[in-house]
Amino acid sequence: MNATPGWLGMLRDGARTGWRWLRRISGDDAFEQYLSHHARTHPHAPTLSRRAFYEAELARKWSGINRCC
Amino acid sequence: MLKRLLGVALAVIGAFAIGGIALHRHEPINALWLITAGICVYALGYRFYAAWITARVFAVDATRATPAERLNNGRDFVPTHRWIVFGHHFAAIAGPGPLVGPTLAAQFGYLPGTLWILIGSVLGGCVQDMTILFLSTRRDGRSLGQMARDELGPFGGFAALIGTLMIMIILIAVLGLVVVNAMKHSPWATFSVFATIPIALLVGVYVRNVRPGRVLEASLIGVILLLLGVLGGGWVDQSATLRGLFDSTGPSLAGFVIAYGWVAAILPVWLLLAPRGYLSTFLKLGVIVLLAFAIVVIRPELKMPALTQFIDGTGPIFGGKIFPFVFITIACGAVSGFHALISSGTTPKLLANEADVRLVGYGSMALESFVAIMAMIAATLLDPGVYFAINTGAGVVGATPAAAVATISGWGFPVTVDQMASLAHEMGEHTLFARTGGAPSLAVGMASIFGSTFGRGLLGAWYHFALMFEAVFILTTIDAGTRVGRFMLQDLLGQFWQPLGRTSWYPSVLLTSALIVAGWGYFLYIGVIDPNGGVNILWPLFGIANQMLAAIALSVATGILIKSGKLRYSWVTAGPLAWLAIVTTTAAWQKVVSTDPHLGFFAGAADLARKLASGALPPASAAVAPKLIFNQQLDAWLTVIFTLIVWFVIVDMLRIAWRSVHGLPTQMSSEAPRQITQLQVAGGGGS
Repeated sequence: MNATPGWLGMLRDGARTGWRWLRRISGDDAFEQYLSHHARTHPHAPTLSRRAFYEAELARKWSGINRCC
Repeated sequence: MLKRLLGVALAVIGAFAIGGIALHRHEPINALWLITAGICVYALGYRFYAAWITARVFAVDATRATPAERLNNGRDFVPTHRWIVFGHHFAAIAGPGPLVGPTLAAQFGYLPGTLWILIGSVLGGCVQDMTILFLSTRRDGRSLGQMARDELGPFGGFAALIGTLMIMIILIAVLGLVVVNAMKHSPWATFSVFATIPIALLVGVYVRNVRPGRVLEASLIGVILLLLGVLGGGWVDQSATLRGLFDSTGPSLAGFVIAYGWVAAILPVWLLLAPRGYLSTFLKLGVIVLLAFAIVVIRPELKMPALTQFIDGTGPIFGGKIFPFVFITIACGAVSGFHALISSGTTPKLLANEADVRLVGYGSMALESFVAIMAMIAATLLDPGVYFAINTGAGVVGATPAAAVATISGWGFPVTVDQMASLAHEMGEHTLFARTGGAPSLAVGMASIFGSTFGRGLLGAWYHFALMFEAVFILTTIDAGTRVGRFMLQDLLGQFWQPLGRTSWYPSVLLTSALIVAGWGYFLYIGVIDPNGGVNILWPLFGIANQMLAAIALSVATGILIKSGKLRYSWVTAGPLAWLAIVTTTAAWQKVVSTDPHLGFFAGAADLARKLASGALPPASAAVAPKLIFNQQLDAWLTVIFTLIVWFVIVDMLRIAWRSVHGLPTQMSSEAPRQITQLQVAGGGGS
């Protein structure tokens, strides 16, 4: 870790943070979010599969007004 | 101290820029003035007015747990970082509205629209969005309709529901018209818009079946395919055989959009709606960033005068004087009632801290308003003659290019047939005359900006990219709007016969979707056959409806503020409410009773009926005239209904306010009790 020059490390951290934000804002990491929330709150209940979760999410997101003029 | 100095500096620069814009006459002004004025005004509004409202009027409590924290279910209620919520909220509120409205309002010159966009947003639209977001956050994320019912009574709730449904139908119709006019007899545009459908289907299957939930990679693939679709359209346009397949008339394209809307509403969301949503969000953010960058790089001069002679109400694109019609034409970008539905639906369930309402509610609207400023720049950097030639219907300026340029040059905006022909050729089009609706002229403006920044060789591709971008937006709104309209209708009909209310019962789904599509399909079809372009009738109707929804939202907000003992601060929402009530009522009055056939609906119908009876119309116009006459009368009655609904809500709110001030019983406040947050407060608030 110490071997990398400061600015390179900063660049890498910046890129990593940017990527994390991009994934969060686009919903790319929604399944991971769900798993970690699930593990915290109901650790013993079974979890949805990736696909079942995605479908459930879509049904929720598109049942109300979510696009405007 | 430093912050205060910054504020003073912003105020000085902003005042200079606005003064510069307002006083600059008879010589071209640089677009950077508008950008500078915008940034200063938004920063001042955010830094001072919004901060004051959140602190004094709302008394936001950063230690109070939000619904996202109290009801956290890991799904819709999730405490989320404020910049992420900002992104979601902005993506949801920013549609094609702020692109089209300013383009049409540019017929008055660049000044009136720009001032209204700036002032209307910081004092009206941003405040409305933030207030509704705050009130909904205090009420477990309830919708505008529920809040209206809870706080004002059943009538308020019903009015909000009906208002929303009607505005949705008008909105979809006018947006459909914009797309149809952009594709009419343009094989390139038609191909690249059609191509978005299989691309969306492909992305839908990919993100559900192949790599479930991998939104980013799916969107990346989709965006690349969309760009290839635009280039492919250019290739289709070159091919003599393929050209004919995608060269369609307005009515057949309208039929296509109507059929598409119905199919999209009954297909499962994962297949078409959701992937289109992803693609349009990506395109939207990308284009906005690119456009802002390009405007700053090339610093174009605005060729449109500050004011044109059309402020007197004789405008060719739509009739009516500058007051009230500039405030009606630019709804989205200044004040948009529709935003209240987003601010009270999904977004409040994500806020980690109440104090975030300033960034998310006020900030997102300020950014949308900035998009409207960019649309104004793109429309006014064109030669005014070109702008009017593209945006005016053949019924107004004459059916042949020679007649059109003669009329427009006669207004004092010189333009020649050669100039239009070479522009059309550069943009890869056969003709650009009478491409009403705002999208094509915006696309020409955007293509010139992008072309000057990134190379003029690809002007045709930039033009069709801009059109495709607008179409993707619009088709997303058509899909999503039809679906929401269907849910609302099912909710309504379910009260009469329960099975109709079941959202998964297929006969009801087919029937209610068909009813909604028939509703907007009718207005779309009439708009397409109207020789004056249709937009001149539909867009004001949409503007009035959208501003009236804002009046309903602001009434709910004002009523709640007064009920919670904040009478002396209630002008914060009552002020914009009063302005909108005056503007929309005046506009509605003129649209209904004006004797000018160019402006009044009844007068327009009577004028057409007289011409029909006297045999003055050419056979083609005579064939459609009865439909147009009926439609104008219908529009007049719709306007009357809108106005009555709004005034009932306002009077209802005043009644509640009067009772509240005099200590009489009113509906209980539906605010959720305070709980202390367990989250780290440091993350929220601040500036």
